[in-house]
Amino acid sequence: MRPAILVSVLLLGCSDLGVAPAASVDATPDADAAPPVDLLAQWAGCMSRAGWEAARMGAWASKPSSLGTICSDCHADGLAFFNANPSSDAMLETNRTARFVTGFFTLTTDEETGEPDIAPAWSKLSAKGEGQNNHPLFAVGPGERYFQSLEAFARATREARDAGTCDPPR
Amino acid sequence: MPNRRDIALAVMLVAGCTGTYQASDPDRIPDDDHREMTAARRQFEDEVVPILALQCSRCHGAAAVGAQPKFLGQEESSYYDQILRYPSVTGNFDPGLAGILTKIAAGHYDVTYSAEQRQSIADWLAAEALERGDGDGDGDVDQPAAVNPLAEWAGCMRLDDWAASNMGSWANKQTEEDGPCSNCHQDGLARFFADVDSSEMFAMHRYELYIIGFFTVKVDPDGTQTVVPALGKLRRMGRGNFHPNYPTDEEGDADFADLAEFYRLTMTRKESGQCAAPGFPAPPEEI
Repeated sequence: MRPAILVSVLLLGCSDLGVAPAASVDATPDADAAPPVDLLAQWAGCMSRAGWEAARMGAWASKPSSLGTICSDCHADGLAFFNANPSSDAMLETNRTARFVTGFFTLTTDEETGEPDIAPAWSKLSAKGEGQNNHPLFAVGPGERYFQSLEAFARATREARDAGTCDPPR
Repeated sequence: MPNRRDIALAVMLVAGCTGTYQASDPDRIPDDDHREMTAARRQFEDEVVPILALQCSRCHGAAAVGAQPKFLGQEESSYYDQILRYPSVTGNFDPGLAGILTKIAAGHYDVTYSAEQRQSIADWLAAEALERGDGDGDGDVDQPAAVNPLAEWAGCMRLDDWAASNMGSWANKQTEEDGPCSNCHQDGLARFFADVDSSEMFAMHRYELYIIGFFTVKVDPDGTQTVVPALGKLRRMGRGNFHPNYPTDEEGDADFADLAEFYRLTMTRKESGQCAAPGFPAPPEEI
């Protein structure tokens, strides 16, 4: 099969599947098209020091585990890409980076709109607290104080995002 | 009520082998809660609790006197939550590292298990390991990554470096209130292994279960991961945060200097490409 025919067949196949073919390399960019939004980067730009401190997120560094240790004992410098530095400022700055923002947050789907969104990484944090992959145990659940801190911080961050008062995406 | 029938069966089996087990808390598994339990938890409650109650609770229950680990709660209903807090007892659900098996096999105050009891405990550990460690859902426990920084570090740790830096002296490190580290950590309490046998201590520190005793990982902004001594934790513990006080590097402590030397030797070996293949050692075969 000649290459041109093969490409045409493939493009037709994509169309049939509802998958838009990629734009050709010489296509003129649409000046009006909005750039794709990296929701996690946008979220990181909305994570404010005021919100972080008000929610007492820095206390996660001192969250106790079943071993008598606290999160910062192992995660002060980012073990397993979860940063819980004893310095609340340093912890916030690190958690706003692309590499660490998924420590506390994850991509999800808004239940009402079906649109992609950001939410606290409850499943991961709960699984770790319940001993997944040999992690030390720690208290989990909606009523747990550190989880409540995270919920409050997520709420403040979402409000900032909705109000458009964020820093540029990081 | 199948739950209680199972318990009764377990009681009969245990009684036949080693004595008489009387459930102190026969309602520890309410029928309503039973539905919520994982299979492994159910296995523990039905088959392991009677063994622990009969063989272990006198010395390791919450009300026991002495400094030994109280890895069982006051009531049988609390055994599960309490034993999970003792990775040295469960070996993080690896029978080869689980004190609940290895201590008995090595001889432990004349306590012995029958073959059936030992198998029940091993089966429970295996069930827990599968429930907690099968992240990819393939029906097998996921193996620890061989490419993560701590696994690489385990491949670089050498007994001769350990001995040369005198790391075994940590077992004899004195606390202000409770004697040397080995008094509590001889068997790995709180995932810190401080055996008076330096070679044994070294061997245990290479396992994923215990390597975090002395080390953690620092992630730089560019994503580079470097193993570093867990000084934050070791200093904090020494300052008496729910732990007996001991001197740290901030007071020029010799044991911290030994750790710094062992770290230097191991890092030198890593940087010069003299390490063994990355990966944690395979735990010993189940005893």
